[in-house]
Amino acid sequence: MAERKGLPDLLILGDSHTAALKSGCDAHGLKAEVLGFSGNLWHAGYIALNRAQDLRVRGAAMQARIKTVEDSLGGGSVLRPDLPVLASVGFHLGRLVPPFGFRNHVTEREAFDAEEDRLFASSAMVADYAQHFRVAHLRFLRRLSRLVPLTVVAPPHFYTGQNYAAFYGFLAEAIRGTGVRFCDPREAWGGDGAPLGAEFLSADGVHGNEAYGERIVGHMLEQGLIKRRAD
Amino acid sequence: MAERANPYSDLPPEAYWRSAVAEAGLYGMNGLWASRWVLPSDARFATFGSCFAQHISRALVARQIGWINAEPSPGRCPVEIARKYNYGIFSARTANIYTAAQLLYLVQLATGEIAADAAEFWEEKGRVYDSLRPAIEPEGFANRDEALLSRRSMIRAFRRSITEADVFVFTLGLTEGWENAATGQPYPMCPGTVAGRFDAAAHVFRNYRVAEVSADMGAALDAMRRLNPGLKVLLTVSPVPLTATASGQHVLVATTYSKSALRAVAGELAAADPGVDYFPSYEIISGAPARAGFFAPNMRSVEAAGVELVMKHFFAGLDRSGPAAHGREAATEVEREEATEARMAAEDLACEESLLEGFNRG
Repeated sequence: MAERKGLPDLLILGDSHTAALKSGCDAHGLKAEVLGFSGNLWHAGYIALNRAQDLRVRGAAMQARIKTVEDSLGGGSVLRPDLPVLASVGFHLGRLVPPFGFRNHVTEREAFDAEEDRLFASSAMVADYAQHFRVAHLRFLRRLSRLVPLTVVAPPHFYTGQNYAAFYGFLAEAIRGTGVRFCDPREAWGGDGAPLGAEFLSADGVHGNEAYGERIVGHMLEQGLIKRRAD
Repeated sequence: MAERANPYSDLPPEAYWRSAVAEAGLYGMNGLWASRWVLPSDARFATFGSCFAQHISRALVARQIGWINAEPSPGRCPVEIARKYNYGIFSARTANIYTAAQLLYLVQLATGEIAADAAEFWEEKGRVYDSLRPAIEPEGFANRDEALLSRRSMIRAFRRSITEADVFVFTLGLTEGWENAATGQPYPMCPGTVAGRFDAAAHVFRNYRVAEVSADMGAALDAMRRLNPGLKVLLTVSPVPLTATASGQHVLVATTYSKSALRAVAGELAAADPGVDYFPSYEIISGAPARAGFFAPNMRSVEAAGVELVMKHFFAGLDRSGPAAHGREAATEVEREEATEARMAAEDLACEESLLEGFNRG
């Protein structure tokens, strides 16, 4: 299929972290269309590919959001081989990690030692738990990668509380294991695993800000994980 | 001739085999057990011991009676994953405690008398196994640190089971076990069976005598009561025969010794200590009235009908007519979950706002 004139450089698909990615694209002069849904919907499995390989979301209002993007792209599916997708999909840690800790389970020695009532959960347990809740997302990304040029980007690595690092690390490896092109923001910040500094966080404390977006998108451009459209 | 008065003249029907057993039949027996304590209506039970003990855990949970789950699975954990990692079987993830020596060792870990890292870890094919519960994680632990943290977590939970329980239910399983010759550490199963490597010089077989079981149980109870002076202990003996014996005897003979010794110790402890009671699950399954009918075709596993009958007698004899003594603690966990849910909802809101902001910029 010939590339259509006027298509953006990227479609940013995913959860609330799409906002920082969009701002980063703007900063680097990349034209990006955004299709974002709450991490809650992704977590619940409300967004999926149907048999015709089209993106579908439960709920008319949400489906209308897809239609809006379809229209702005000139009709047809939002998923097309000539439109690269940058996906912030598969983590949604805000719905995954807090319930894991409902009964005081922690995954690190420091956290375990900090309070007498804490319980330790092994890395194998974390892996099985995360795999259970994200197996459909990993399958989604594998299928998506066969439909479009896909890059998956992990969320900002700021870790809002207990156990985030363990789940983040497992899911990063799991997504990498699917074979899709993957950007791990920890590598863009030196790869030492240190949590992201406050200067890269938005006021709500749970999203990357514009500085974050600019840096992560710049990193992906440098690494060839995303590209400017040639036309 | 006039009937002569004697101590048997006025005994109740339960005292006579004919009326209590032969004529009553298996399902007609009554008064097999009556708890010697009046427990609070919200009494809390910790359950540990050999594999038969898990039936008591399940029955308490099914009836929503206060079973202490001091080491539950992580929140919202799928049932199959919780089961795979041996959560929810006993009040802490001790795995089976077969012998009195094992119980004493665990209690000494809980009191701090023995350091958490004193017991061995076994490395095999890049994974690490806890010698105190070698099958607790299906694939072992990633490294020694993780295995030790998990053991410490179990010890914390085991200690909490003791300190928070009204009744500590313990099912005695075996007299046979293995110990480390140098350290005396008891193993739940012979090294080299599930994990580890057997070393004839390092690992010694023990078939504990009645006096040894009694001494270990006595020491364990004393130590538990130092943690919780009001703790009541309900003993049972597992009716499940030995899978195998290393005693040199026929396994049937070895089983009879093992169960007889344990039954005798349980009886002695209950007779000597008003804080100890004995519940006759062993008799219900293995006694003559059942004609071994509750055993599966392998003559070892206990069928569900047997467990059901055991539990019927257990709950018939339990007296929870005392005033409630707890209540608030259960609410605390609910409140903690609700608080986390509220934080998650707030984060959802932040996510929605972030998305909307993204549209504004677009």
